[in-house]
Amino acid sequence: MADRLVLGRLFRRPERAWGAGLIAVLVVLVVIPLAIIAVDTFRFDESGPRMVPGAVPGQWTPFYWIRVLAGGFARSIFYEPALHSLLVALGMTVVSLGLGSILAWLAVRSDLPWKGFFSTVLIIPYIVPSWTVALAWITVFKSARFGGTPGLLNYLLGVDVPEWVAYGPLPMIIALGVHYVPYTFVLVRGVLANVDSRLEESAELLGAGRFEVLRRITLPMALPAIGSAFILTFSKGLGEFATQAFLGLPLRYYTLSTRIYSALNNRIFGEGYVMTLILILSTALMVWMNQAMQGTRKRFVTMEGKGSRKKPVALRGWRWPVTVLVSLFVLLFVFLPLLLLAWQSLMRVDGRYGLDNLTLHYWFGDSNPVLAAGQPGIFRSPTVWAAIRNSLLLAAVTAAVSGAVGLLLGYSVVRNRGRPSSRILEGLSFAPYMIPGIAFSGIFLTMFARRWGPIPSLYGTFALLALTCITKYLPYSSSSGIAAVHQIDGSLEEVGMIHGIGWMRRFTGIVMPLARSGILSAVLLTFITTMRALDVVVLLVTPKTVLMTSMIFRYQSQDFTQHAYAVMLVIVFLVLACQGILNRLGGKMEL
Amino acid sequence: MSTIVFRNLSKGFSGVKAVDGLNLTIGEGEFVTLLGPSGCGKTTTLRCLSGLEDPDGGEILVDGSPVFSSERRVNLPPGDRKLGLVFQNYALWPHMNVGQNIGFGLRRRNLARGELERRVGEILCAVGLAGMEARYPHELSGGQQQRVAVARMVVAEPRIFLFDEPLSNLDAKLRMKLRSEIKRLHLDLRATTVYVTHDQVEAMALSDRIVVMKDGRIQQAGTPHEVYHFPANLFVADFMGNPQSNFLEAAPEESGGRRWAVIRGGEGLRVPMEGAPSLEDGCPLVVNVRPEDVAIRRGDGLDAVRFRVFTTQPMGSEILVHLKGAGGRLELLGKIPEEQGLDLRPEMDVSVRLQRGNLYEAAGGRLLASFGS
Repeated sequence: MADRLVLGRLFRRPERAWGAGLIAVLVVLVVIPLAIIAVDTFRFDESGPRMVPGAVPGQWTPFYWIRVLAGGFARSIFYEPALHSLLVALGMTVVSLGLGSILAWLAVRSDLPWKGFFSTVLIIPYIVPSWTVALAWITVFKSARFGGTPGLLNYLLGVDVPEWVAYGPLPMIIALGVHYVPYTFVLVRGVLANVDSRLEESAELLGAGRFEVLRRITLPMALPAIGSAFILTFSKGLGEFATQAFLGLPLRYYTLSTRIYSALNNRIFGEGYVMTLILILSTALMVWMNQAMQGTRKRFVTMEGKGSRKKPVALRGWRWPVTVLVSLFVLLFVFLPLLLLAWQSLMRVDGRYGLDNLTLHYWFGDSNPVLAAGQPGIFRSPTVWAAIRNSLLLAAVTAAVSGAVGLLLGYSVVRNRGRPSSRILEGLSFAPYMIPGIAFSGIFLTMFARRWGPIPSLYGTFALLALTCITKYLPYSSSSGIAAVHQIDGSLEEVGMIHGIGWMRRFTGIVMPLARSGILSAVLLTFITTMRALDVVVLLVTPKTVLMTSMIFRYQSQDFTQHAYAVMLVIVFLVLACQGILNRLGGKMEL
Repeated sequence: MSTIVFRNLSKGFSGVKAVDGLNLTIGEGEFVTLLGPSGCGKTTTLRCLSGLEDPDGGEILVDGSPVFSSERRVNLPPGDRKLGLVFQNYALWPHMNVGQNIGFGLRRRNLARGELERRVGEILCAVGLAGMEARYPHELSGGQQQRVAVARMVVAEPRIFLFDEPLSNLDAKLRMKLRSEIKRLHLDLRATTVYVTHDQVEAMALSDRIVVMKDGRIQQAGTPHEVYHFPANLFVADFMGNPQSNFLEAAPEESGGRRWAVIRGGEGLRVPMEGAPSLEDGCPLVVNVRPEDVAIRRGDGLDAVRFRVFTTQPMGSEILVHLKGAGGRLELLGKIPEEQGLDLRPEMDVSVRLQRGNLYEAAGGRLLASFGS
């Protein structure tokens, strides 16, 4: 006879069973692949015979580690790209955190006019793909001198823009910095809004001026949180791929992520994985540092009481100059890039900015051998339509599956609190966050390009793209799921249990309706993120599973810029529409 | 109406015993309160009874048959135990209106739609919320939410009512009113009721029997009168103090053919020790006297004369008088009717008599004898 006591508990608390199931799935999707590629760096892969005469694939070797870290090419393969990555990440963090903090302070504490408008449009650079500014930058600063068509400045002024302005670290820092301004803006705004205003008011009562209060009370209290924003932004910057590819590859200015891409794309897997591991470890280190800092931050009173609404700090004479500056930023970095891309997509001949050069050919035109090697307009191209369909489907599947998994996961984690399985599951669900997208792409390429145990080869299938995106973006929904279930007091379900309501009905009748809004915003966010994702999928896309982002990447590298920008605008349109829905639902942007 | 028996019930959380070998029998229709400070195991006991918590060992019988038994491997799910529970936070489903909240528990019975609505309407009428079916919990006051929670429990016709600190989230006035409503509910329906609280006044006001708990063990189980006037040990005496009891160090002494407990530093203040087991002279004792059992008079006339008024605190119908012994070591709190205390002033000399109280062993805190009752 089965043990009724044990069976009874299992039926009443099925979340324990799935907790274990989810842990197993995450181990298979994250832990084992990481372990396998770590082991694989010590064996020759298919590139072995090409690089070392007599090498046999599968043979044990320290070759790749030596090649990357100590060999004759180590400098160009690893050290220089790593240095570039650090430089770019540091630069963009300083830019975005500086601008983001100032804007956040203005939005929360000053009497800046049109705060609502600014707060809304300032989010846009983070919603549109990260490389929007990068592409716009290229259209402005590229020069006929280094190949291709002239950019806007070159056309208007006839000056040859120096190469280092058009490509390389400077534009990368600016483009990524602008992309992350909303991220730091939202983080710092949250911190500032949570500084207990009574503490500031106490200082004012003791005779401190407004700016002294800012300097001696607000800033020191917000500093740990701002430090954590710094680390988070920096770690994201390290893993960025697309911008660094667009602005770096033409100059052969490599960063770690573009190096990984080219190694994996050239099927020198060992080399790519050594760098992947290093990148993951650095990101993990950053995240760990942040956790450690948050530990001390909790002991600060910063994140406590809401206090009363504070009277905003008067900017007085600075009010209008500051408004003009903020507007200028919005105009130059939020709207202008999108406008430029639109214009670019309408240019019959690239590089001629006259009105007579405008055409809708690249949007709707039939194939014309004179233009773009006969490529039809994007809406006439079956490939682009396939890409749009695939992208939408991928985003929808990813969002729906990770939303459902996130809710179940959140339920398991919260309702099993205090058990080791809860902590393990929470930690595992967060792990994909620490693995940069390009690394994810590489890992899944190796793992699932061949038959693995009961899992058939998935290379070239839509399923592989979906699996990769779901795993990579799971942290969004699982953190929302945990937060959402956390807010549902256990007693709400316990009442149901006492009334004899079974688990299914409790979940659908109580948990789901109450968690809905929290999960829904994560679902939409995942949808947006998946739609604009390039790094996560770039190595996995095949002609059969082409996506909008990979189309852009291909068009851009083939110099079909009008097509690239047109597709880009389709993505921008779709993600902005989603964000609109998200705002309607009152969901908050979760980062 | 049901009987409940706990046999040797135990439940631990990560090594700490929340309930430690609890034995208790609750009779048909009885209103029993589990009383104690937070962490004493009262809520855990209630949750084990409801089935929301799985005990580590022991047995719980309802009407003679086990709902949980580690020996017989029985553990009925909460829904099969036919009991109802009102939570401290009421646990109303925020996304359902009042009618849906109450009806949700009834759906299981497969009532016809009209019948369901009729029952919901009836119970709302009974708790004084007639016509509020369409309101949502956040549109109700705390007291109304509490009544909905009670209605939701009662409507399912459970054989046992459980209350987990149901009044703690309410303000004092409303607490008093709802206390009376809960008592009336019990009188009308006579369902066996287990009520958990940390408020001894609430326990006194409501219960047929009070079970005082500490560290997962029962300290005393008895009628409110017993628990209030004859606390079984010093912990119970302290916990039942309202506002606060006097605990005075004392030692036995033979004098005039009678045994006395003489208060240390008490300027001759003593109480008779009748019925107490014989103890050596000098064996440390504790005398517990409630403030209202301390008689105070201006000048001399009572047992001990050399006390001085420290402060007086008028409480309306009564006055709290804080006294200090002449040596300054002994402090005594008295509560006297207003008219007797109006002329008392700080620094005034008074005499004192301890009229009624209990004697405890200082070591172990066991009750030895009572006096004056």
